[in-house]
Amino acid sequence: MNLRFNLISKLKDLKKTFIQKGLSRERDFDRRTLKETRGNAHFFIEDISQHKMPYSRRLGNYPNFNVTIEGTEIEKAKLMLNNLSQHSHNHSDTDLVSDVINNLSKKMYYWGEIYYCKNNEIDGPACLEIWPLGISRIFNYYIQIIPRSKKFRASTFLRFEKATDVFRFSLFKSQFQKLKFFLILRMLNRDRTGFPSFFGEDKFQNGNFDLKYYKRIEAVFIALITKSYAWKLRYLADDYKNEFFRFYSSYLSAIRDAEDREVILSQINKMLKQFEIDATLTLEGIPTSYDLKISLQELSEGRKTFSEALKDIYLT
Amino acid sequence: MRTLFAVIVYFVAQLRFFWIIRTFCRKTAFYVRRFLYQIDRKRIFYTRQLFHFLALAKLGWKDVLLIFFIFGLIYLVPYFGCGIDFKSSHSVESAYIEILSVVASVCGVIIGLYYAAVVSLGSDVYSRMPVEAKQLLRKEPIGNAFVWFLSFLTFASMALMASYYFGFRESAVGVWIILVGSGLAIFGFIKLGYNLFFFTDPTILASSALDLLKESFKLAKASSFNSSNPDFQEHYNKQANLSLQSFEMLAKIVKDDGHQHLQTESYLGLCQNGIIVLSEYLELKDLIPYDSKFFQLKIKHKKWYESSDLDVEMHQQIGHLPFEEIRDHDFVENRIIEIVFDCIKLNLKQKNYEVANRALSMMTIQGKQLVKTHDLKIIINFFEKVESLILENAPIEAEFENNSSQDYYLQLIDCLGYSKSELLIAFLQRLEDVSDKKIKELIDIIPWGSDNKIFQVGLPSFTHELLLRLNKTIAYEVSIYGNRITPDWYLYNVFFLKYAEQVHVENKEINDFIFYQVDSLKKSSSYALSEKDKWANLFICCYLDRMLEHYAKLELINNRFEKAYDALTSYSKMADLSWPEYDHEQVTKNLKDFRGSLSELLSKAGTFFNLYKFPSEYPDYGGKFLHFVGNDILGQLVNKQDLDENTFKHFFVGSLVMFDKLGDDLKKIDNFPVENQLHFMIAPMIDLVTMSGLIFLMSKFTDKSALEEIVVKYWNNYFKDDAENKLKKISAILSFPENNALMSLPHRHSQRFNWERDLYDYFINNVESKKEWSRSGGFLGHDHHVVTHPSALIRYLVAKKLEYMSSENDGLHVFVDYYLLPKNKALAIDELEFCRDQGKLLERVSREEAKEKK
Repeated sequence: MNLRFNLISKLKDLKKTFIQKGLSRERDFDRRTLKETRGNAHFFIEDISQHKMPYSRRLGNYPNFNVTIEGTEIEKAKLMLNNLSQHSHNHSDTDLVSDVINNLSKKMYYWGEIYYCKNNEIDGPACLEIWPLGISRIFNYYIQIIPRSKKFRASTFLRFEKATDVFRFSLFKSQFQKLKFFLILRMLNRDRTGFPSFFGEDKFQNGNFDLKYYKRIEAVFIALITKSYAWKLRYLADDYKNEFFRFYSSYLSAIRDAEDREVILSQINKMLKQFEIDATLTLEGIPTSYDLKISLQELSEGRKTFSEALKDIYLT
Repeated sequence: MRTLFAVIVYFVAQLRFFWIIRTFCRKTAFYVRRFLYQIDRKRIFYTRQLFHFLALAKLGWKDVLLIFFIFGLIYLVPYFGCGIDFKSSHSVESAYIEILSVVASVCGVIIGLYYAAVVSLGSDVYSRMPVEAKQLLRKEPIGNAFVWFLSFLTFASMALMASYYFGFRESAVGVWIILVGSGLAIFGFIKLGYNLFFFTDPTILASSALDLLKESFKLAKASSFNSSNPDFQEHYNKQANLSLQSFEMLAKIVKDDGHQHLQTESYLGLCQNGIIVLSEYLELKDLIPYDSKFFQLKIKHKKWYESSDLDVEMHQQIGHLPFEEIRDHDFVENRIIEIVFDCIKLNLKQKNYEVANRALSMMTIQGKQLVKTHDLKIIINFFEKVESLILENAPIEAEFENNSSQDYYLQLIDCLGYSKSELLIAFLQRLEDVSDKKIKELIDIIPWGSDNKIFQVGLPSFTHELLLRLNKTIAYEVSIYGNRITPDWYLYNVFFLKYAEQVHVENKEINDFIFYQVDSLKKSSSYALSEKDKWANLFICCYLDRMLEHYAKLELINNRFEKAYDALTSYSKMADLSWPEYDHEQVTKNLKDFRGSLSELLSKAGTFFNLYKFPSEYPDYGGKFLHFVGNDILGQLVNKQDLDENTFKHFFVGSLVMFDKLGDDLKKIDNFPVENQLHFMIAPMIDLVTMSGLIFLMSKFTDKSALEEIVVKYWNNYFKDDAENKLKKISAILSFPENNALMSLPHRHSQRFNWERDLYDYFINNVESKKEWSRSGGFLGHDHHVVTHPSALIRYLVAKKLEYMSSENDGLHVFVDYYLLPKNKALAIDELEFCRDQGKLLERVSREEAKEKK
């Protein structure tokens, strides 16, 4: 109980500071810029798509694509998966699993990591979402802070879950990868004034010009412009790419997609095992990351034509 | 490592010290480079001065050597014991000063003389000319080099005198140098004075006008110092333009009405200078970077419909659609070639065909080089313009009765044909370079990543744009992934496509260029035929003859092009690439049509040609053109199994023209006006008879009686009046070469043999035949060929050909047996002798028919 009490007091402090910082305009301004650039991350980290699975209704290149669920508790597993999916009505198992994987990947790219926990209040297996920003792990427990907008879904103000009841979906295999991901986002937000700091000090030491304020405004401006125009004027970068390079980068993205798909699927299987449900998911009739790597090697050695490569790259 | 370096630089760049050191390093690097550049410039200047002076001193050095040799002999005399002492009592000191002072004064006088001459020229001749011409005279390199050398000599002798005054010893070496130098200078002055006399002709300054151009394009090369600097490139462009302007100014002076005496040889010399510089430029052109500012900007209309939507939208909002500015890669060629064209035009209008001919032959060499550097369009445009000019400015008969301008004009026409066929040959040779192996070798050594060095590989200029683009993309790849991603096969593929496109376009241009002539020729030939001017006919016939040669070369080009094109396309691994479409069959069909129209024209013109009498020194053009028409008829027979009545008519008339001029009594050789001409009169007749026989054979083979009817129609027309005499004359002619072997022309005989061979080849390929063993004949019997064909004549002749591989005058025998002998009978006169075995063929055929009935 002591532990619990201490934790509550600590969290209250945290909440206070959060509210104070949130109220200050400057901080709010910075956060907004960060959010804008993060929204545009897809443009800068090109070749990453959130859609990891083929559209099941339009199977052009892969007519044999199928997902099978094996085990004794298939219905239980389906109930669990339905909670993870975005759409409520899926026609088949393949649709259901595709929907789940797409949904998970979308969230993971936004947050980097997502947490789900088994809700013990509802009968049978069910999942509850936990947002990564408000989570910290303390000694066999996950402490969860739920944002105001999500509160009605959580139905509780504060929750403590056992470590065994919480499952983490992550894109990152290691902590270093996680760091790299955030570093890239940070770099996108970096100041780009083009001159060293002493130059600015020399130049504006007599006047009342606030260089830091200027830099921040500029960053916001760049972020807004990239958000509104960058995607439309993406073709301007085409001057720097030849056909082969486009194929090469598309292959890399396809490999990345396949790897992510495989990771998410393995993590779903792991989660089912953790929640003691006897069911395993397998994908069929779709190229694995290994197949795609071999195919890329064939292309770069000249043993494959571009038209053959197109089939591998595009799933639809 | 790169990222580590970038991070270090990022942090170090925050310090003031870093920026101070950086500016210092950059400044010193700039000064060092400037110093090196200045030294390099000076070196070039002095070597050029020396070169010019040596060119002047070439005249003098032998004389100087001779004088030294003679004086050397005089000094050697005492050693041979003559006892005469040549040593003077003159003191060495006084002589030393005297020599030096004399040399200094003589040099001074020569300098004065030179400037007096230049000033008088400037005030007299050049006073009426623009400022640029005066400046050219001032910058004249040889005179300047000479004056520079003289001033050096003067100052050197004065310096030696001064050193003697200050107490130094006499310098023997110095005296020797000054002695030899002054000798060269004095003798060189003879040459210079001679040159000065010619300076009244401003065209002599052309080479010095173009010196600046030469220098600028050599400096604009990718390998030369600071060539990647855009400011330097712009400066070179300005220099080149200045030089070209003064060159054009000289041409303008020559073209003026007051300088008609300069419009022949001097103008030619001017053009020659331009062409020499142009050829040097073309050799180096591929080494100048494609995006260099040496190539000035020119305005081009943008194709807005093809450009992106965003561009159009932006420019519509601004309110106007501006021009596009591109680099003009042909400005040097265009400006120099235009001057040469003006020279040809001027001389053609003044009927100076010889000068025009020489100018054109100079351009031929240039044209070959232009084909090599892929500037085909420029040279084609030039030749098209020149061609129409030449055909327009043909001499009229009334003008040239007393001089030989028609000879020069014929020469000019021949030169035009020759230069065009040279152009075709150059293109043919260039097609050999379009092999995948050679292109691969070049691509493998491209140093990707460097801006300037990629142009030093020697890839042709049309690939430079692609080269730049690929270099940019590869640099992008390196910046992202750290190494080159694009594989070799992709590079090969893209370059092959570029080559294929370029060669395809050039091939098309060449084809169109030759085809274009037919239209222009039709106009001019129709004019000539309607006017019935015999000389106009002759010119056109000779020109058409050259065009036949072009046709043959064009066929070769298209065949080789197909091979090269296949080799390039077979490597394709990118299915979506759009290769230029090339339909070989269509091209060959076009070529055949082209040949058809040519033969039609030639047969028309050639027939008229035979009606006129030419001076005796002109060769047998009539027979030459008839020979071609005969070939054409046989081509029609074999390829189309048809006969154009018009063509046969021309052949028939042309063959009989000469024949009709003969007298009746052929047996008396003394009666012949010129004995040699008998050859030319007999040969066409035998050709005609053989050809008629071959047409008979063809009509029998294809069962088309229309062919036979055409021949019979014309012969019947011929025998309408005075048939008996005509038949007798023919019989005499046909039997004449058989009796008198000297009277047959060997090359005509081989020609007839070729006709028969071609026809029999066609028969053998299109008839069913098999070998059968028969018991009759020989001890064990023998194989014989059995041919299946409705006509007995064909059966017999083809089987004979297959068996013995021989056909001796079959055409002649057929015509004699099937037409002339019946004609003889119909006229009810004594049987005439046409050939040795006349009538035997009919017997054999009747035997064959009897065998068939059995």
